[in-house]
Amino acid sequence: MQPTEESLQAPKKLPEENSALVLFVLIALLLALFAASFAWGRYPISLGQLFRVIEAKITGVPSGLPAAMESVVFNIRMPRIFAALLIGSALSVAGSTYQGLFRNPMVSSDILGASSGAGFGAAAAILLSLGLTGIQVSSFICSLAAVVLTLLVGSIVERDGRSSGLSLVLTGMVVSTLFSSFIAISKYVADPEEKLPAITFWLMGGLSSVGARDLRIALIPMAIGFVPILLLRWKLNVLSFGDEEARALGLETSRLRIFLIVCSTLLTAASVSISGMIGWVGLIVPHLARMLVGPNYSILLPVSALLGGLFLLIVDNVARCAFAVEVPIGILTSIIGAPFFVYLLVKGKKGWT
Amino acid sequence: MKPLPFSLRAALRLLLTAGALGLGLPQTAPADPASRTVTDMNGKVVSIPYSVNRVGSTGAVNQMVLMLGTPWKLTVVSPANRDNRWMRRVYPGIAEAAAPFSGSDVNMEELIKSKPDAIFLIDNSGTHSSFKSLPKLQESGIPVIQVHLRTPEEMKQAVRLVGETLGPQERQNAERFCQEYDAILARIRAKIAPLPCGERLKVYRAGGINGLTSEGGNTITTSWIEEAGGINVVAAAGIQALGASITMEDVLQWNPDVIITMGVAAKEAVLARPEWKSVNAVRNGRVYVSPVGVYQWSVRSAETALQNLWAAKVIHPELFPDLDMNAEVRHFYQIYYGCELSEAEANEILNPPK
Repeated sequence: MQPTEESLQAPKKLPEENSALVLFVLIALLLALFAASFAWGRYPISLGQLFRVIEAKITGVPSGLPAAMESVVFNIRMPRIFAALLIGSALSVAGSTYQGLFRNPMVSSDILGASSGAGFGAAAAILLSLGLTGIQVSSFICSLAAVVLTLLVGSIVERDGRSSGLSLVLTGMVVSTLFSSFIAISKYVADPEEKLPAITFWLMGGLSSVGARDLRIALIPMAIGFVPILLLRWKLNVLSFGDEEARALGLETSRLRIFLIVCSTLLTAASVSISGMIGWVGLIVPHLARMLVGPNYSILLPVSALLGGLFLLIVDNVARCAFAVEVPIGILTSIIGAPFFVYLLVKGKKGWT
Repeated sequence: MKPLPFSLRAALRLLLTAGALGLGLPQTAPADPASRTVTDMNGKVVSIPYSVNRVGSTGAVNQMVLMLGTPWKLTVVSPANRDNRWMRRVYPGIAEAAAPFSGSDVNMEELIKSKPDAIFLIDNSGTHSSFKSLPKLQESGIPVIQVHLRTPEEMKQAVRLVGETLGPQERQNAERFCQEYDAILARIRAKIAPLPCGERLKVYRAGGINGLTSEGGNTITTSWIEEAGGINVVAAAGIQALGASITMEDVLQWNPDVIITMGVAAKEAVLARPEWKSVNAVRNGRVYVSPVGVYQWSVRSAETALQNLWAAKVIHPELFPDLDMNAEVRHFYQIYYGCELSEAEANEILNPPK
């Protein structure tokens, strides 16, 4: 190997050398936090009691502890911990994918209207008193519908021009605004004592309504979205060079692009339909991951997933433990996300491609 | 200094006392006979037209207007009020009312077009989200009368204030309501007061889509729970907020004996979810949906007078074997709304559908 080539590659290689270490540290942190999260909460459970409850669950021998304690561990903490991990990962992976697809560092998981669509679906279901499951189903469907609308309008806009992705991002903003207006209308007609607070509550986002059953159902679209992205992640590298380069390398770009959009949308829609709007995760976690391991998607994507899960688990632990009144998680992610984003802006484009 | 003539002094004293009580009285010798003043519950003296015929509010106060004998004076409401089934039942004319209010905002042009003589706003002093458009409203010159609705006392004061704003006849009806409210409370207290502390049940008011929204201390919710011989577990935990997001783990720790939900959705959520199964109230089948009439009984309207009665029977049925809520509802609707409800209708109020 020629020395010049090596010196060219040296600075680029640096984050990738870190990647194994980063992965290891992230997995270790995640496991530690996962275990610790079972011990944290407003209901006092000592470590000894926690182990007895878990032991009783595994062996089937009654622990002799109050039933409420078992309920806290298995019906409250466990679904929430898994929900935080899954939703954090899903939103981050979707965000990373979109950022690569559109070659735009400012897009996030809800860029094509998924969140506003979900919000409207939930608001409509609350107005119709459809109950928790109804709200989730309705927001999932409306979330998908919003993205489909974006894709349809986007394809009309792009028909004769060059496919740049930019028009799709713009269409996404338009559709988001449209659905936000629908949300506003729902709030306008809602009964201010019962329905309006419920809509506002849902829109702020939170994992307090997520039960084990909801999670099992949401897992299906999440897996359908996640697995293909993970398998095709190296192709995202090529796509992020731009369509012409990708085509030169023999990739059928437009079909691949649509396929990846569908997968990311499934991830986003499944997440927001059970958690409400949780902003910023899909925007900042991919950036954070890129700072750690660089832009190579084969490593960036798994790191995004781990980091996203870790991030949301930390934030949700704060949301559910810190105060007697639960803090909406969407507010916390924004409080953390906004300053971080300013930091990214100040830091400039370093770390991007 | 020359002493004031007796009559003027008496009138002044009356005015001052009344003002301090938040009652206010029509000015005895108005400089401008076309107007009079009332003192709102923030202590602000508001000048209103001498005869008030067009009023309205964002929510609960509209129920009070409908209740005082001249429902046609309610001409400005919110869309939710206008579509409210029971409001239409007691006063079909509400369908023609303007609906410029939504949440904490108002469409100013629509409001001005409806030419209100006065507007009532609910201000629960920081605990309730204040009305966003208040400055805009005040600039418009429309008289704004603010009320607080946190305790039975404030509730009665608000009803009197609404009555006084509307006119002498309504003022009288308001007074009658207040006496009846006191009579209801006295009826309950006679049975509840002797209860030892240990027999006061822990009550949780569940709202929202997941049953985890509730109300803390210094709210009307805490008031009716306590009147009815219960303890609001949320208030007992030191939470003050209105519309507080409660954590499930806290609910399990409080382990309430009775759960009263706002809305059927919350009850369904409570009964369907495994994490609620170990709560005493769920285990003993003591989860009830709060009645909904012209207004939600459990929150800030004058129908909360009935909520006290209903909650007392729900929380301590053994103390109120003869209390017939269905008859009470029909009586209330007949007297205050002039509306003859059938037994089935009263039953629907007591057991609200989805």
